[in-house]
Amino acid sequence: MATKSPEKGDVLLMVGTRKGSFLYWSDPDRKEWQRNMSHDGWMIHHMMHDPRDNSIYAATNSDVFGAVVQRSSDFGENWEQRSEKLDYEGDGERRVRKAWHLAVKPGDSPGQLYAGVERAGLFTTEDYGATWAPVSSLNDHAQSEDWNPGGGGLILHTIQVDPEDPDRIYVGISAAGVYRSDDGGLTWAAKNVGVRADFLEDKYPEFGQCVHKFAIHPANPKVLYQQNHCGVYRSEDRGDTWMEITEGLPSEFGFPFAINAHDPDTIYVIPLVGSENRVVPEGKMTVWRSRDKGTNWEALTNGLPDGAYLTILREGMAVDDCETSGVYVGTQTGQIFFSPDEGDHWEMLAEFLPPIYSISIGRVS
Amino acid sequence: MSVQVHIPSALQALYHTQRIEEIEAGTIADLAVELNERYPGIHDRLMEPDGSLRRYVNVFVEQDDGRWPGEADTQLENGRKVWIVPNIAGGASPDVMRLEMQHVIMQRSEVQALDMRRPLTICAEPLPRKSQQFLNFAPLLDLPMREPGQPEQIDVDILLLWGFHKLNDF
Repeated sequence: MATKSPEKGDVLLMVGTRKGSFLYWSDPDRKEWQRNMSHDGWMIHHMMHDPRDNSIYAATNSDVFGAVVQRSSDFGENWEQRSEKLDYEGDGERRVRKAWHLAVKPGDSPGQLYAGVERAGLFTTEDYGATWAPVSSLNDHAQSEDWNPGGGGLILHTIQVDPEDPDRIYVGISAAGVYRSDDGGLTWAAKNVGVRADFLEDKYPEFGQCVHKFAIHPANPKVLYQQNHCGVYRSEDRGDTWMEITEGLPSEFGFPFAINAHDPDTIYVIPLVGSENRVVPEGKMTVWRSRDKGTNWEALTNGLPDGAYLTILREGMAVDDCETSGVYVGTQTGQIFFSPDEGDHWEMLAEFLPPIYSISIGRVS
Repeated sequence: MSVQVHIPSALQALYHTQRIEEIEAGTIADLAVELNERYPGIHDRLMEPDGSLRRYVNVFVEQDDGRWPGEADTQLENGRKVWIVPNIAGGASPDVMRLEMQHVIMQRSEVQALDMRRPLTICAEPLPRKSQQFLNFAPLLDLPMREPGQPEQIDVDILLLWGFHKLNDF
């Protein structure tokens, strides 16, 4: 399907599915997309572009062969998959069953990454994913024996690094909540004050909240947002405290969360009916946007289908940093919806894909 | 000891191996280490960190399941053929699939159940009722394709491990 290779400035749309990965790319007009496919038959939980060397990484998983982080240096034509030691050592029951999320480890050198895995833990590589080492300070945290799994298992599914301070690292664990390190990963503390856990006897525990996705904005890294099992929240003090901003949304339950690439006050969520029925309300595909940090919400439906009982998973939404920011949503039924204008208008970018696990965006550097 | 190792198609594609690799190894554990010398990373696809075989990775030495007894310590003799066989996912829940397969085994005396200690895994020759399903999976097992409706003529010296586990794929 691809007739030309990615060029500098192109938008990269990386799509992880239950049955392989798809890489789309286009110039910033985003009108004509090229595509290639990789990883036939593997589950792809997340993909990531490292702008330092234009590598693409994929968190690929097999029930038989385990978790493998694969790297391509030629936009998906070829993949390296050494991925050694991406597991807990020893004879214990604790095993890495899946790689769920990848993130750049800040620094000038490419090839340094973080990976979040199931059973919940953080791993790091310094050699482009060839070998991995556990971040034991988190994985063996004193509270870790009391972490409980969410519906997707006990997973570390979100990693964010403060763009102004690479030693400040945040991770999201279901269902343990948000943890933050201020010292480059030497120590970690739960950061869930103000976040509800309605499924527990203590509704506001120190940890045990079911964070579904959280995000930090590069232009204002004091501010974080999260979509939780029990509501949408904002923090203005680097996660020390959270305030609920669910009011105005049709449901407190949803999975993905995205922030506009240029405006930290503009945010997106996709509410689902609830924990027991994880589809968009009333069969109407709707992305919800706030222009004021979650004080007011507006329903975005222009171009999105009605009579569509769709599910969007935690990695199912992303934004690009084009002049007018684009928004991308992938569904568990294989559609990709794309808005070229911050959510005002939507179109179908792709359909009939396998169930979509993740949507990620990069720019060819 | 030199053995011929049949690599499953998924690992052939992932690590660009040959379909059959000639390996010097005394045990299955050695085999994984030796394979890793040629294809870095492949060891971790086969073995757990504690040195046991991954849960859904099965190794046959000729017709014997290397998992029982001795697992990764199973001794390999010179010239043996070794098959690495991943479990195959079924579309039904494991319990349902297992009951169905057990029923078939009881009805067909020539089907030999080699391993019932692992709850979702049996060894059997191809089953006519599942022939179409078998045809679909045949390339994964490096066995010859055959047309639907033909009598089953699979070489019975090659025993298939027919494992089912749930992939939440329906």
